[in-house]
Amino acid sequence: MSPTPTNGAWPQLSDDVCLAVRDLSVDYQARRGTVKAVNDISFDLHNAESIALVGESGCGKTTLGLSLVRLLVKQATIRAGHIYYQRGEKKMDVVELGSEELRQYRWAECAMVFQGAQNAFNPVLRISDQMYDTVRAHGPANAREVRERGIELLKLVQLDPQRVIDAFPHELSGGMRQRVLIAMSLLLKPQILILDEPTTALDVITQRTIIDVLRRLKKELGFSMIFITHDLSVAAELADRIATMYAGRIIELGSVHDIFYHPGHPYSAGLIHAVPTVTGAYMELTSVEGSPPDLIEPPPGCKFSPRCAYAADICRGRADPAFGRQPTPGRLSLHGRDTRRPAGQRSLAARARRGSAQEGHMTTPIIELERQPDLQLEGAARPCR
Amino acid sequence: MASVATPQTGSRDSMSLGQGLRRLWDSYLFRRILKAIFTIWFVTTLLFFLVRLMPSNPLEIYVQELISQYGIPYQDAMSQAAALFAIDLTAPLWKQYLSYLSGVMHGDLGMSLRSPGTPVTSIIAQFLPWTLFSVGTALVISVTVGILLGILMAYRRDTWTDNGLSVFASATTSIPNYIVGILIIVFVAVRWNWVNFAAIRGSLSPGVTPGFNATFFQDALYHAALPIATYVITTVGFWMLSMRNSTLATLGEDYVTVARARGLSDRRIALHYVGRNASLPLVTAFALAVASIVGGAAVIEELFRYQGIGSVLVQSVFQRDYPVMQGVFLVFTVAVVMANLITDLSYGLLDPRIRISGGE
Amino acid sequence: MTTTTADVPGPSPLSAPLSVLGTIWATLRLLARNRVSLIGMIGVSFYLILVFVLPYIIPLDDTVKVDLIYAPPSLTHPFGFDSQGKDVFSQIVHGGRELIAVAVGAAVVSTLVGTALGGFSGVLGGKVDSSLMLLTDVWLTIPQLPLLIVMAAFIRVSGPATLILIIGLLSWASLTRAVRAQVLSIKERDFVEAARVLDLGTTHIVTREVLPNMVSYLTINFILAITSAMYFQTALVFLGLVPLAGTNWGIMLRFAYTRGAIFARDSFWYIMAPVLAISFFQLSLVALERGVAEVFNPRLRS
Repeated sequence: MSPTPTNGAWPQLSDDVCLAVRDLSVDYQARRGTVKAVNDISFDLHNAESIALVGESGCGKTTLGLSLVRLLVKQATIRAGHIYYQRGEKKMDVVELGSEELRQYRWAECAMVFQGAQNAFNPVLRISDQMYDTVRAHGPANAREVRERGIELLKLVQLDPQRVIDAFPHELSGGMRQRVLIAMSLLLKPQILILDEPTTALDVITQRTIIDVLRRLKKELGFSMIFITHDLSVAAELADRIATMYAGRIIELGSVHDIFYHPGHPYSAGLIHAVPTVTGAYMELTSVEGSPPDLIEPPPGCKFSPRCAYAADICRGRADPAFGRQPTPGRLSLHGRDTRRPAGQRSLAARARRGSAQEGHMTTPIIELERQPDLQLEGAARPCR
Repeated sequence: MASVATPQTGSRDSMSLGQGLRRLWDSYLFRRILKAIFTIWFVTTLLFFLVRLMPSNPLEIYVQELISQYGIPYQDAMSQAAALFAIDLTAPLWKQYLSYLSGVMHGDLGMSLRSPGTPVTSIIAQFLPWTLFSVGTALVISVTVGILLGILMAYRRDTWTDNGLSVFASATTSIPNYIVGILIIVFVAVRWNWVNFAAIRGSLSPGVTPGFNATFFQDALYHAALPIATYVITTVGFWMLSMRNSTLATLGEDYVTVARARGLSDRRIALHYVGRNASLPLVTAFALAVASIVGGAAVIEELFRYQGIGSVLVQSVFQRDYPVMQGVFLVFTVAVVMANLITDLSYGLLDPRIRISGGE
Repeated sequence: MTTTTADVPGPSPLSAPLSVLGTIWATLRLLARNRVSLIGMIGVSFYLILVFVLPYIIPLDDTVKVDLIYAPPSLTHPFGFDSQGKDVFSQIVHGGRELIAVAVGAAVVSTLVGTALGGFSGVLGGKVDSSLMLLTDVWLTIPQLPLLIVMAAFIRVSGPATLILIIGLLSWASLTRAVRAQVLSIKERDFVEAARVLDLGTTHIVTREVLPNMVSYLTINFILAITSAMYFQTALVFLGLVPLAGTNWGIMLRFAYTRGAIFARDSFWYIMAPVLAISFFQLSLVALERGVAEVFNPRLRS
């Protein structure tokens, strides 16, 4: 594929950036009106880096993931923004790609592993045939070579290749299918792997295996990863950086350490609280009060303000909240107000937080928290910006 | 129905005869074949008793006819009738029934009443190929076109293409087939004069003899064109609508999205990922479609004067030629039973998730 | 108002028929809001007027007029004249009543038989169920139109009643299957379980709990049964397998065909009149059926 000329100037990107998202907005056309599912999202994904997108369901993380490979449903449109992709000399704006270029971009440059891989395979074709289909779609393919590569990849994801390669999908268990999909996603050596809830709906042991497999693969093969999860423990294990999403925006983007130890946004802090502890009683589990805002008629001002313990009039009144516009390297604090702990609010300092949000048992310690950090504010008493 | 799971107790060599039978009974294939045989037996029996026990019993009518018209003595008339019907009238009913049944099993369906000396089987052998040819061709065209249009409709959901084709499909499936046939004759043959109806009737033009040559096939196709068109028009809508709905359901499946993410071409996805899976539920409808198209052949062949087995059925009813009627109807039933059986067997081959050997 | 309803335990005897009427009225209004079923309702009403009202206004033209043979349509004679110079439109007006009556009658018979057998099968279960289902399967395999044609050779069709019985008893099997499936699924639901716990008896369960839940399904099936009865009936008439007495659309179709009318360009409207009458009747019913299905089963709406 030749470098694609893009409309407008190519942004200044350092060489180690493989994907740069700029001001991306996605709308859904619903019966009631326009749902602003993703709003003004910008971030850079570096080579061999992994970013976790976390947030409640409906916050736009899956929409964001799908828009990176332009797999949005018909009712959705990319309203604005750019998705710059570069791999050596290859440079393209994914938003501008024509259908054939887009087809070539998918899976070869950026593969996506979907949530609920139970149904990810055509039930009437063998795994080997589906692998061949994939390679064939991107150029000439030799059935024997594809098979050998497939076997190699199946070994990498800790499956017995002889059993799996000629199986029909229904002959494999859910966890096996998930791993086959991961193996298949690496078939064309893509630079970026997007994983949407890769461990949801699997039992704990299978979750563990998949997390191990992913961590090893990433180290060995050196691809970049964006993975979407609501499970902070998974994020903590696999991610270099965590992006917290709320109401279609990235409200905070920072290193795993920063997000867990110094959450800048009350919502990030709330999410961390929502993780059950190993030993802690259920009473200790505090989720973020309230529910996500209506994205057709969003509340004025800061979208989080109705649920924010620290919200002041200034947060609610502004026409354009404009928080988190530019993710600067490092971490980004979006909440600029003085957020002394309100009375009665439990300490933000995380109790030992670990384990899977799903089961609440059989989990491994993830982070050792030694101190109880307070909210660290960059510029106290500054309005949200 | 609640299926009783048979726990595997005991080793293989200690398996009793009862268990073996039980396992045979559990076999899906075995039960299907048994049901098919039962159906054919049921129809054969039904026909036997219809002929024998109806108030205006055709046998007696025929015997009376022979006596009154030709002055044949009663005994001779009885034996002649017995030969024609393949029934010995002097024997008790159950004996008659058994000998009739064994005759059917040996392929002896009796003699025609109206063309004496002609076995029913040879009449069937003469006319059946034409029906198989026209109905088979129509089925292939109808299923192929219907499935492709159904996929198109689903992909173009709620557009003018979809709405227009939906209206067409609903209309053509609800208008009786003989009316569609009449409309074809009225417009294609009479109003627009595209074909000469006097020449296109029948199964072959005079002078053309069956054989493996282009002239014969061309001529056969020419004569079958209007019946085939009628079958296709009246059945294609069913396939279109079924395929449309099935495709819509399949389009929402994860593996279609994943296939797009894998960068497969739209064509490959439409045919091998969507089309192949969406057509699976249609396989079960295939037997029903065969039944309705074969049933319709009786009227359509009569309408177009096409010399197939359907036309023979109607003529035999007019002429009260009961052995022919019986035999032809049995052929119809066997055709549908076979279609059912083929459907059941092929479903397992098409969908790897279903194994024929294991129970349901 | 409030006091009376509070005093009466359960529905009063007078309120039952009123509520049924109310339900029908509400259903009709619901149907009128759906575009497809509105078309169907208009079509069916048109036919009801054409067939049951117009015969009293327009007399049947039964006089042979040699000078008017195949005369073209005019304002007073919308479909022109037939091979004997009789007005075609008056034959259309008078030729539908018996057909429609037989079709509805046959649909009633097959619906009753199918519902009864399916209900029995589902409620009783066991041996009755399995043998009835075997019979149903076998019956479904027998091609119906050929069977009907063969039956016509054995049974003298003396009048509409015979025809109603033959056609009605032909097509019970698919409904039996469906009703049984519905009964089995409804049987599992809570309200039937409740009725069983209260020991209300099988009859009560079937007539009060199961059937009301199947009304929409039976309605849809009933409409389709009318169309298939119409198809079988006209096919028999068209083939000449039932006595050709009187005037009906099937007989018109047959005469137009056998008298060679379809080959004569003049007689276009003679043949088109019954063709249109039968086709639009079927189309109206199918539209009504689709509409009813959409209204009662919101999942079908796109």
